[in-house]
Amino acid sequence: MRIRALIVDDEELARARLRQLLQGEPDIELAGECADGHEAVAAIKKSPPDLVFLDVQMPELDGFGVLEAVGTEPMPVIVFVTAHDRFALRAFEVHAVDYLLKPFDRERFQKALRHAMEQVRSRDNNTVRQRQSALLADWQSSQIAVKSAGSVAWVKLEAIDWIGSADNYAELHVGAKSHLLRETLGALESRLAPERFVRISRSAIVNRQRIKELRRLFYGGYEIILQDGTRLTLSRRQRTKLKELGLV
Amino acid sequence: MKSIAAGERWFVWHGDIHYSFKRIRNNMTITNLFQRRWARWLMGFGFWTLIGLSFAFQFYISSSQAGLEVSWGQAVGYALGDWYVFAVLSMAAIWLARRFQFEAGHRSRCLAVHLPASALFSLAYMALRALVGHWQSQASFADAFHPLLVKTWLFNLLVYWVIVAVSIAFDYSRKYRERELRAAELEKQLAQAKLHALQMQLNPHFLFNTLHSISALIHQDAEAADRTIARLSDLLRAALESAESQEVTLRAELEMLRHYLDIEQIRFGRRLSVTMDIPPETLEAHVPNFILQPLVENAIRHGIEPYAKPGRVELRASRAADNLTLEVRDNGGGLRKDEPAKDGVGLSNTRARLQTLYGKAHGFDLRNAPGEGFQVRLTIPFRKALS
Repeated sequence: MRIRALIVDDEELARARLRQLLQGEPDIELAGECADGHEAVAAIKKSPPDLVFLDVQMPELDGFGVLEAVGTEPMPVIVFVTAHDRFALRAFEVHAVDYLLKPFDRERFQKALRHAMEQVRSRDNNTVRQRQSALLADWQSSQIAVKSAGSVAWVKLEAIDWIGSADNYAELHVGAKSHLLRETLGALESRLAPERFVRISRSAIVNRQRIKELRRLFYGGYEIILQDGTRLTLSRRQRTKLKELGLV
Repeated sequence: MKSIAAGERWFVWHGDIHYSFKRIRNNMTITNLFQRRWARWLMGFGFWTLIGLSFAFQFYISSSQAGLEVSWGQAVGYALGDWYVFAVLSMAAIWLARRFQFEAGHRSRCLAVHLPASALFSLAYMALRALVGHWQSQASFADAFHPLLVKTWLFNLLVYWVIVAVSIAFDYSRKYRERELRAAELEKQLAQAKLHALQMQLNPHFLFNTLHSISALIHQDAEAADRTIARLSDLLRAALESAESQEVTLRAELEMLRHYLDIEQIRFGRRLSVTMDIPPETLEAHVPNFILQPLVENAIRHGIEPYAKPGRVELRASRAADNLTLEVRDNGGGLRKDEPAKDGVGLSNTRARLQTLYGKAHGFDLRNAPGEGFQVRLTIPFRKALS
């Protein structure tokens, strides 16, 4: 049985490179090529391939977005392809998911391919599914998806300094950038791990690791100074949080 | 979770560094203001008093050696009377000296101002001093004026010219220092622009994807692979070369940009189209070195890359009267309505450089383009080579 492989990459030449390499493989049948995430999701759902070479960085819907949208059934064996993403690489290693670093030569490509083909042939879909689902869960828990018309930007939780509220939006402050999310602070708070993020007032959640200094204000409140110099007020009502913060 | 359009615009990076520079500069102006307002008047007063007192001392010694009865009080009174009058008139002399500085090409005009002015200064001194003398000693104005006219007219002229000379010297040293400071600032900003260009080319995402494209081209079009390697090398070389001139011709700047765009074009293929509308008469205009690259890079990073639809970057140059306008526009999502236009490290540096190079004579405008996308418009004085 020939293995059906799908190529997903937004760059034409990157697809061509994989095509060149796959065409030299007698056991592989090319199932198609997709130039973006949405196309890939549709193609996988329509006619599930055995194997997908999936680019991580793509416009609108990236590799992880594809994984999320496809769900667990059918879940083909995926070989992630990326030029550079430190977090993703760590996650691939942890979850023993196959990946290729751009640029790659035939030797590396074949090594990854052999391994992926073994998994396809072993019909041990559960192991593959478990690994890939764990990878996705890990990814989801470490990121917040900032969605806009058809596209998703992922913000790493560890990169968030603090989160403010503006009407019905939550504003993620990430270094000098900020992202707006249509979500209340309360809803966001429940999704964040309390050991990493703490609600300090009605209008702010702070990344604990960014707190540099705590100053007492004359009326009984506290001022929290972050590493980047941002000053936030810990309201009097939230003073019990001080113990939680381990600062009193 | 439903959310609104959020394609964040400029890649902001260490934006606060820029702000802290700004803060330091503000502190400096405050210090300058302080010096100007208080310390300056105080120092001027102290200076003339010191001269007055030293003349009083000399007057007292020489008078008493000549056997004349002069008290300390009289000596100090006379001498300070002399020099405080000079102090008052020096303001007018400094005012004139600032305006007529004997710059090359204006020497005879300045001489034509300062010669009569010095005579007037001398005359005004004698009149004012006689008035003060009349008040000090009850002698009649004419009695006070006559000896002054005989004895001091030449010395007064000399004082005028010394004041003018010192004032011009001070101004020159101040201007020199300012020029040095500005040159240092420009050099720093150019270095930052180059560093940014280099960072962009060594950005792992750009570099490895480009190398990957080359890897694919080797097997299908060796010539194209060669070209891409050459373009990438051109880019890296330009960014690695040591800083040279602040300004280059638009032609040279566009050539550099072409290397970069060629590579992006190879990577994005049909997803990227670039149009350039550059009238030939603008090609020799001077533009700041490395000015366009961060603008075009931003357009591609934020207006093209995040979208699957075919993207377009338009680059336009135009000349209106004495201004050169450069415009970079994309057809991406633009800024959200509520999203502030933030500068990335490249753009904040661009802004600062334009300010240092052209002061108020430049415009730098970021906004959503009419229709769709985002546009950056840059206006600088139109200058050609050898002007």
